[in-house]
Amino acid sequence: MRTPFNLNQRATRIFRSPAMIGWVLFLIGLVANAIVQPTLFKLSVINSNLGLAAPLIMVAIGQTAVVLAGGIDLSVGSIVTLTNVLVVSLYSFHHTGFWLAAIFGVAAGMAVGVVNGFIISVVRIPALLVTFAMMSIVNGVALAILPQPGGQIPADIYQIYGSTVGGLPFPFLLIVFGVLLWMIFRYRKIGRYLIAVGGADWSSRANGIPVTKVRFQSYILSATFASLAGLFLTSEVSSGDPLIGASYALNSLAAVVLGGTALAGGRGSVSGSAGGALFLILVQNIVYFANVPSYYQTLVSGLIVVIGLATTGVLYVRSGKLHLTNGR
Amino acid sequence: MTFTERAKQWLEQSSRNSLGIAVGVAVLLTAVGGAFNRGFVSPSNLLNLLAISSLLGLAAAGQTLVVLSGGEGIDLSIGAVISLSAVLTSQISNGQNGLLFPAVVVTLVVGALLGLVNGLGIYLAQVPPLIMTLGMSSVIEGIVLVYTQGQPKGQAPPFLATLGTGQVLGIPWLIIVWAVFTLIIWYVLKHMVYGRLLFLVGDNRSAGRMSGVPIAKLVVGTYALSGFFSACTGILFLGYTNTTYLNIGDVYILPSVAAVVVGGTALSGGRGGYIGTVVGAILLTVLDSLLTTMHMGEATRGIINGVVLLVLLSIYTRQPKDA
Repeated sequence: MRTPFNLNQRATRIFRSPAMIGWVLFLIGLVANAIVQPTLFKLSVINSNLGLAAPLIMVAIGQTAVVLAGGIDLSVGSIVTLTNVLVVSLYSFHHTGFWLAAIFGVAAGMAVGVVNGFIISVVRIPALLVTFAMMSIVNGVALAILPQPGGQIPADIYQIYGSTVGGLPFPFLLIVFGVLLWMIFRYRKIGRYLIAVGGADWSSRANGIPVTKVRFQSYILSATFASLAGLFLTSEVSSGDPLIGASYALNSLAAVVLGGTALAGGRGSVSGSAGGALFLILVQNIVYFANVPSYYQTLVSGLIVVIGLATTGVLYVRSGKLHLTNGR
Repeated sequence: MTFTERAKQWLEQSSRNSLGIAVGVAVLLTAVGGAFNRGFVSPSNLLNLLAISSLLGLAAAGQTLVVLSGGEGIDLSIGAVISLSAVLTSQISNGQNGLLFPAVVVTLVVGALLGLVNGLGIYLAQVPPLIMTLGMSSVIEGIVLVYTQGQPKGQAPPFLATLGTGQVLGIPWLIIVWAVFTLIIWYVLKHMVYGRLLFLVGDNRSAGRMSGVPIAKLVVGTYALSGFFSACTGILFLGYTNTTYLNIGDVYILPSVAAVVVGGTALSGGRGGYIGTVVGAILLTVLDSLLTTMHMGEATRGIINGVVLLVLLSIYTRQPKDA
């Protein structure tokens, strides 16, 4: 007689979990999108949507790691840009092979994460300000590397990114790769530490968790995911642009919050963030295919996002003593 | 006491005096500018620098209040509100003095209302301020696009243009306007109930709540005030540049936060004040102007701005080890 009870309990747990909000929003977005764009479920359309979604999901995963540990990373967009301009200009103007360029691009992005992590955890300066200043620096570097949009990548890379493998869209496999990469960390010590540190950093320290180290690592994680996102985005657009990553700081944070992760840290999940990221991509689609006049598109998509955020917030408040912020 | 001990102690004490550091750095930067180019320290250029600082200073006024109010308060919609305000004032007034008054009234009301929406989302729906105000930015940018159909037109009425670029007795009007605002904000923060409660609530919300402070009104009102100040900035910006284009306010988003922090206001709320922000705004303006004088390109300016910000931050926003 225990099974139904357990099932019930399990269902309750799933429905009460904060990640639920992200996935419900995603489903609503999916239905709305399918109504205005009947071709939504054609493989080629799914493929191109996932191609756009993969970079955002990657950035959102990294952002979730930092936010879980009680931090924030505003420099993710600039890291995406840095990887993009480095890969493209190394390949097209310095004639290194693509893969060497890719390794350099990702390594440079990770280096930014190391600097962020060091200044935030060891020098102990508020993350918001550090990553904010870092954004300005890294964007400057990117602009110096590639002052104007241009360059290219090998055509086969672009084609592979848009192809299907075994009936599955290639970007989907990349998303799975990103999630698996996260899982590796999540279920090891570092993952548990991230959440412990974000939830209660003083008690974590008292319990012997290396708080400084964990914080440091969270920024390297986020930069790693952001630079992989930069690599994916480069494969998607197949050229370089010094402003390409500008929207990722806001969108990754919005995805994290829509996915029910508390910005205060310690509570949340990557799956929720992925749902939130997919929702954000769908919103752009919906606005476009619903024939909203072009001047209204920014307004409408902005409104949908704000309403989504407010709904998430209200649900969070309703759900008990959970709060999205520390402040209240 | 040996010399090194004394030096150490002096460094430690002065690192707590962020206002002093900010003033010192601003003076130093000005001196460096003077060394590069005599014209940099001429009275007319210094007054001009102050006039440009006044726009950033006003934009950062609302930011200061919001940060002081605590709860991770921050307003990143400032840039969008400034853009919208400049566009609204120029299109409603249509370049005529006669229509300036209604244009200003509408602009200020819209600015305050947008701030109010921020405040409601943040306080009632508990959306983190950073996200709420960023989200609102894109909504407001959307409003600007719809309102202008992508092509803002119009210009500043002559009266506003005089306020933005004219002088009285050799002193730019902008500086005088800023001085008046500064005096009022200083007085409100130091001597009026709102100001005192803002510090209390920013420092400790539970204590505020238990002492019966109407926190909801206070916090939501503070975001509305921030919208109001951004609207003021937008109106004066229109007077200063005499034209509008889309997203003119974006350049103020990050510097407004930087000015607040450089001026010694704690991002955690409850500590600081507007005088620090005034110094911070001047410092950042001098820095930017200095880099322009030295013919640095946009890329180098961004890099140096960021590095200087990081260095300043590491001097005085270091946190205690067990925070």
